[in-house]
Amino acid sequence: MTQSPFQCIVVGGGFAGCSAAIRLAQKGVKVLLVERGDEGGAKNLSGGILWGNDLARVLPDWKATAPIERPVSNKKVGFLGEKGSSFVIDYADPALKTDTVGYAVLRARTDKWLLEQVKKAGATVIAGVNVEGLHKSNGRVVGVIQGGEVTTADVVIVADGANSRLTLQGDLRHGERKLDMDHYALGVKEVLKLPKATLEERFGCGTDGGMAAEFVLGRSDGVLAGGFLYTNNDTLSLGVVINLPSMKNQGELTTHDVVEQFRLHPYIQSLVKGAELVEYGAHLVPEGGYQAFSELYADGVLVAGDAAGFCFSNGIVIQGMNYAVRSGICAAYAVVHAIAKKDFSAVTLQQYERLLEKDGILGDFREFKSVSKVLWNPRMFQKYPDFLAAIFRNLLKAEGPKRKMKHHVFSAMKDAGLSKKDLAMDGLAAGMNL
Amino acid sequence: MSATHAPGTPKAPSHADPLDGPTTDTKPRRVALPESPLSKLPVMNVKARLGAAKFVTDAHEFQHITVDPDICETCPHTMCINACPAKCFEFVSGRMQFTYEDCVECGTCDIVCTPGSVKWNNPRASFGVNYRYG
Repeated sequence: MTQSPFQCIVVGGGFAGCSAAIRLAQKGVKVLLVERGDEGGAKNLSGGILWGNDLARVLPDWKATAPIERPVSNKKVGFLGEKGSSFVIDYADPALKTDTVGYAVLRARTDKWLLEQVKKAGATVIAGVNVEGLHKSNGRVVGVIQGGEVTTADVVIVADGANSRLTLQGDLRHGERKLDMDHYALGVKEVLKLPKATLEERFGCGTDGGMAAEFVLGRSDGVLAGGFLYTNNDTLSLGVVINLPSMKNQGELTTHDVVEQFRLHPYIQSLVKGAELVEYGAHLVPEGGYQAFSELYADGVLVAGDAAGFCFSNGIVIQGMNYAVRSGICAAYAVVHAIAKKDFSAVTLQQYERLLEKDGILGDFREFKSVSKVLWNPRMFQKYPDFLAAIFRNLLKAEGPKRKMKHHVFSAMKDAGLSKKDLAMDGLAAGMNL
Repeated sequence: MSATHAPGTPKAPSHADPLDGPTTDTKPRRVALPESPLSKLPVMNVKARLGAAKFVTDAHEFQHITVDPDICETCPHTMCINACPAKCFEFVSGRMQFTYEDCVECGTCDIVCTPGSVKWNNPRASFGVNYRYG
């Protein structure tokens, strides 16, 4: 066992771990951050939009130096029918280029930069080291195990991401030995290269804007999946988020086929035409929300970011990175509190939960705690894309304008196999939970 | 007729009624997909896509995920085949074969493997996938 000079060890160099380490260093705490990638970001992947300005809390000038791709100045939300139809709401606003709401990012780049900021803040960073487990003494976490060796610290912050091995190994998941399929979706992503000029012309976003688009994917085979397409500087981030239980009994179909079929939808195909694949990857999305959090604290340990389950979805946006930043900062303050009290027991570290409440994180998740039931409603994927297409198809036919709208809706309901009860129930559920 | 036979090897018909003899429901069933417009699309090969990311492959004895094909034979769903985005799981001659070299370390197989065949660990430091975009 190595008696380390560090008061706190942070495991994981993503947005949560880096934010925690930076704030701790800023508060004068001796902190070590351990990252398993050889370089910052090597193991990290996300869909790609960093919403909000939370990073400014630890790095006020982040926008000036961070390798961000494009601000989101155009947001699209739509339904892509399996027979090729598309129904898309398209909101573009030049005001968003200056009054920014979110940025497209590529994590291998941002997280490499972020890890540099951790060093600059005064923390010690070791990259290329895999932490195998939490070391406990008398049931209390007192350090981390690496290469069979123990490195001690007063407190450990676990921020090892969605596929969190440490919360499993350290028994921080309410007795569960495996992550629960019902609480995770799978994100599968392709990065496609497109010349900058072509990209800007095709997406009409100019040199200083960008597009973020999300789609409900119509599928009659029972697979529940959403698609996304984001513009980066000279690449596109294209991918799907798939409800894992819906992949059961799907014959020869794989999740790779689902992302390919999304790319080949006529609406998407026209946008990515000529773009060349430069990377393919995948990552779990901990979208179980309020019911699916890990244990947030125990004796000598705190859990932050995706590892804890702080990934927020309300149907319009999926936000993980900003909640990672916020929970990382909360964890840092909880550690500062524990150092002041010279006590690292769960009783003192419960301060973390109070800070998460004060920061509004727990409130956000409580507010949308039933949202996944609405979002993963099978009718959303099996019926609504065709239903919307049928309404407009009928409306555009020669006799269409002469009949009342309600006629077209009823006719489309029949086409798509939707009952009045379905429509009423889904409308009510959406109204209550979204 | 022997009580056991390797899954995938055809049985010689030695009984008048196919229901005679032991039942062998060990090989997971692959059901045909319902006809969907999506299944006709020309999908690109996943192994070609994976070539775009940078991998550092560890020696076989250090492979970070292990799979027990005997347990796989009892699996009622073999969802790993459907769920793995890198197509690392596949039946070869009726036995589950796992290719750790293509793994992107997402953890999906561990989540969906209900019979407990998959044992998942992070790769050793410096090995595995290295994203350049992420």
